[in-house]
Amino acid sequence: MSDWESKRRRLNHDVLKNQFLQSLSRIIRILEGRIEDNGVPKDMCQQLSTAWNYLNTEAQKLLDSAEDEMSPATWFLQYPLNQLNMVDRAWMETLLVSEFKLSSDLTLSETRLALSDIDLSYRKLLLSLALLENNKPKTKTHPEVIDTEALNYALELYNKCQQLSNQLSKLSSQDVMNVLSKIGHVTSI
Amino acid sequence: MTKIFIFDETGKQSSKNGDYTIHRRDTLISLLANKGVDAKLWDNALKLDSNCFVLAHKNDLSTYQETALIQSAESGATVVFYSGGKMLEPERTTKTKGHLYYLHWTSVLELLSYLPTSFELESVNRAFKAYKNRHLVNSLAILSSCASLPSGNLWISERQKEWQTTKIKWLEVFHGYDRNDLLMSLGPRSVSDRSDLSEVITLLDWLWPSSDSEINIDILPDFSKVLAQLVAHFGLAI
Repeated sequence: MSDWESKRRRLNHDVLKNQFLQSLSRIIRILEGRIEDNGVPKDMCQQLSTAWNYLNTEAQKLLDSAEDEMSPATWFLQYPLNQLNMVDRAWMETLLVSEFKLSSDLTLSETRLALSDIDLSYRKLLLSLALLENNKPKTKTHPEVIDTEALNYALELYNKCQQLSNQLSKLSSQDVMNVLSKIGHVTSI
Repeated sequence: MTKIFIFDETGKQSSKNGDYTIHRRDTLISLLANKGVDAKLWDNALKLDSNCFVLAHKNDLSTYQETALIQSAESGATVVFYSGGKMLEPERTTKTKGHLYYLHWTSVLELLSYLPTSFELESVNRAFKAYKNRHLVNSLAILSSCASLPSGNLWISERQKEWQTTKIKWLEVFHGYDRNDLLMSLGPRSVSDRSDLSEVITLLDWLWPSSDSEINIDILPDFSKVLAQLVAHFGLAI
C-alpha cells in the first residue's frame, strides 16, 4: 500500500468517520433532545471546528496529489512491467494515463465538490448554533423547544459527510483491475 | 521464532511535490510494529540463520555486506533487497536454501501489507507468492489493455499491432517465467475448470505453446476479451 493510499484511508476512516462524524453525531443527539444538555456546549463546537479544519486541509492536500499518486504511470515502476523498453513504456503510459485522466477528473471534481458542500453546510450549522447559544434559555433544553433549523443543518452536514466518505472510497482505485474496468471500453463477456 | 532485521542507513522518501518526507527505516519499523513484531537494526557482525528475515536498502550496502546477505540467503535466511530504482530480479532461488528477493520500495510496502499479525517467516514467502501472482495477473491485464485500447493515434496504433502479433515482446516482459507460472497466478484450478478465462488461456498458449494444449497455437488472442475476462474474474477477488 502506498503512503498516499494510507493517507486516504486514514483520512476517510480515522479523521472523517471517527473524529468529525463522531463529534457531529453528539451534536445531533443533543439537538434531537436525546442527550439532555443546556444547548450544545462550546467545547463541542470547538472540537467540531478543529476536526473540520484538519479534515479540510488534509483532504485538499490529498486531492492535490491524487492525480500523480493514482496514475497508471506508477504501475510501470514495478516488476515485471519495469522490464519494458523506454519506447514501449512511453506509449503505454501515454495511452493509459490519458484514458485514466478522463475517468479520474470526474471523480476528483466530484470529491472537491463534496468537500466544498461540507464547508457550506458546516458554516450554516455553526451560524445556527451561535444563534442558538445567544438565545438559549437559562433552563435545560427540552425536546419540544429544540431548534429545528440547527438540527436540519446538522443532519444535512452528516449526509454531506457520508457523500464525501463515498467519494474518498472511490479514490481507492489503485487496484489495477478496478482502474482498468473504468478506463477505455472493457468488452462485456 | 522469526528474527527481523533492517538495514537502511540513508535515504528519505519524499513526495513529488515535496510536502512530506518520511524515513524509510522508520516507516518499516512502524509497519512491522503494527504487525506486532520488533525489528532490530542489522550490522554485518550479526550472523543470520534460517529464522532470520532481513530488509536491506540495496544502495546502502557495501559489496562485502551484500555478499554476506546473499550468503545468508543461500544458507536459509529470507533476504529482501529493496531500492527506489529498477530492481531487475524479483526472486532468486538458485542455490539458495532460503529466499532472496529484489523489490522496488513500493513493493516492500505492499508485501508487508499482506503479512498477518505476529507473522512467521513462512508467511513472508507466502505473501511474496501472493504479491508475485497479483503482479503477473495485473501485468497481463495492463498489457492487454494497452494492446487493445482505441488510441486514435496512428503511431500508437502501429505499436499496438506489434504487441498484438509479436509474442517476443511479451516474453521479454515475463522473462524468467513460464506458462505454468502464469497459469498458477490465475488460481489453483485446472485449465478445464477455467472456462471463464478461456481467452487468457489462449494468450498463454500463444506465448508458450504447449503440447497438451487443446487450442490451436496459431490463433491470436483477442486482447480486449483477455482484459474483459481478467477484470471480470479478478476485479473483486484480488
